[in-house]
Amino acid sequence: MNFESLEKEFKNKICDEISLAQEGLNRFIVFNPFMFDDGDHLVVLLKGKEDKWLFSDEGHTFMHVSYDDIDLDRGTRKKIIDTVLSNYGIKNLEGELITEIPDNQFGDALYSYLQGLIKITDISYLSRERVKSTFMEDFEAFIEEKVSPNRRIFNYNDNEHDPDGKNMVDCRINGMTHPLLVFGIQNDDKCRDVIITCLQFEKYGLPFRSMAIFEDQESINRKVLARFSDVCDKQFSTLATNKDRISKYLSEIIEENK
Amino acid sequence: MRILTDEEITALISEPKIVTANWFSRLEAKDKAHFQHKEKEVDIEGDNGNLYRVIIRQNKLNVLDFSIILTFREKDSNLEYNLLRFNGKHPSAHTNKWEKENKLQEYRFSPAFHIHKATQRYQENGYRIDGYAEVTARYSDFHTALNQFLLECNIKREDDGAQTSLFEGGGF
Repeated sequence: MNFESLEKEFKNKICDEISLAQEGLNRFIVFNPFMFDDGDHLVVLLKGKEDKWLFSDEGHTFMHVSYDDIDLDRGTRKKIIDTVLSNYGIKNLEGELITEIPDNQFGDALYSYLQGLIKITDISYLSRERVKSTFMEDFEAFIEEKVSPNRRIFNYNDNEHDPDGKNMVDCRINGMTHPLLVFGIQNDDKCRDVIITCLQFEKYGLPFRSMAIFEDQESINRKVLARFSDVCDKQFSTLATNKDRISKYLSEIIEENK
Repeated sequence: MRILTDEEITALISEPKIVTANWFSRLEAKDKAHFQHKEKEVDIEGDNGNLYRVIIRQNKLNVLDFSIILTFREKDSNLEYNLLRFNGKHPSAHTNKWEKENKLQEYRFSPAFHIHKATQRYQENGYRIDGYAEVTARYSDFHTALNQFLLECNIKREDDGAQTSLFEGGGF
């Protein structure tokens, strides 16, 4: 096969992967070969609005990514998404991703739009099992959702006994006879820090109850965990699989100790 | 993650899951702030003690674009497996990657109501557990999909031996 034939076949095969089908007034499905992990192809619609053409996903991309129970609206994931959208000139209209097509430059706009969507679908790889750094964000988001702002203080330290903040508490829940000190624990080091913090609070003579949520309790060294169990009142082995139980426990303890 | 066999997948999907009469009202999806979809997740337990979650997504800009998912939650771990997903007719194609790789016919289909089902072969070959999907004529909108989903996942009211339609049973 000579170069010309090869080039022709190459172009034909590539072009065949992109096609249009009209579905509605000034609304065209852009069939494309790019897929989510599950084999569903990316949703791209070409729409005509007020003498302009634009690409839209009609909100499908974020909806699809959300199947994996990923919080896209805060923390690291949100920052990554905002950067991607900015880099590829995509606007986020309350979850609908659109890009306007300048001067009928359909090709350039489509490639850029698809690149942006693919980057967003990659957020799935930041799932709770793959990126440890999102655990504390997920922990804080969960507490924010379950405890009203006037009852909680994130990153608390006792100013009277520990003005330098050497023994930090991830969240202090107030409004009960004894405040509840809540910790998120990702690893052995954090587990040891929490042991020290709890012991220091005992030493200060401050009444409190403690609760810990592990990212994955099974990954904690057995000896460390044994010592930890002596000082902590309540533990949950993971956040992801215990949200209902933690929620119930928080509600009960907040109500009982008013 | 371990690999679920096809037999295990079928047994989990068909395991009776008995719920209270008012459980169905909990399936009503709520607007997700800053996004163009509604969502809902409801936990459920099977007769054999297995834990499941029903996940619902509904696109507000396209009523035909929705997902109803049955997830199996392995006890004492944070592992979850999507067993069944009733999808609407989103405006894009679907490719069954394993069938394509194995050069089987008709590995791709155009926009259509379709059902993703967990398979052993997809897991064994490194694909997503629910990467296989097939076109269905068993529903034609969200409500008929939900009714069919409840039927196929063996989700029943505690006071009703036979499957009761969501709409007859005091659902939303």
